[in-house]
Amino acid sequence: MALTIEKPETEARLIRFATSRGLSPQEALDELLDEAEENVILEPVITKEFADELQAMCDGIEAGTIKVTPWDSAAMRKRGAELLKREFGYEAPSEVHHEKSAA
Amino acid sequence: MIWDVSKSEAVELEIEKLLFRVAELRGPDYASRWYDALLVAIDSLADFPGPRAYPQSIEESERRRAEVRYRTYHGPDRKPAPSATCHIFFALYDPTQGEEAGRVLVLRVVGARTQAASDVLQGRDASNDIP
Repeated sequence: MALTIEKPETEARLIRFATSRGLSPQEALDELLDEAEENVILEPVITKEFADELQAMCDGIEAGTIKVTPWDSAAMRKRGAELLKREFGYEAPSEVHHEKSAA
Repeated sequence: MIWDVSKSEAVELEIEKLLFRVAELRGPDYASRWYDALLVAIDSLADFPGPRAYPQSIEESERRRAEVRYRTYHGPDRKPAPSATCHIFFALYDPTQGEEAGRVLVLRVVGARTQAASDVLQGRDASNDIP
């Protein structure tokens, strides 16, 4: 897969980062991803602001202004498969098999 | 005891956005497995909602004898994947506290690290901003 960095300043930053560590840009990108996956980025969900958001949701549900629908994982599964097919051209192996069988 | 699970209108869109980002970060095959296991995790709230209370006070839900809790989903594999981790926030309406039936209402599904990692990949991280 070819990766294109659209912003020149981002590409320049990546090259500087890679050069300073004696890495190729691809290796530098891997290192950055490793850092992102090692909890370098703080999780901002346990904050007063987020609690206020949840509070507002509870208020909205109480007042009937926020719609609540039954959890339907079968429908969600179908929508997810459709999204992956539409955006990434991906079909899960079981679905491909299922469609071939149906044909 | 079986809990009746429902969701707020925001949840469906949030999960789809996360699915898209996970597919961008880790490819659609992983994203497909990630998504299926996330749905199973939310399904399982019907059997056991879990004990982890959200640490901030939610006054309105307390008045309604509901409690906001959360469950952390670490991805489909045994090894946790922080960039694909998300938090499932839900309100629990406990029938033993006067509610008519046990209900779990999924309020939000938040994957902040997934968002942040996706932004880093796309050059949208805040450290890029010119002061």
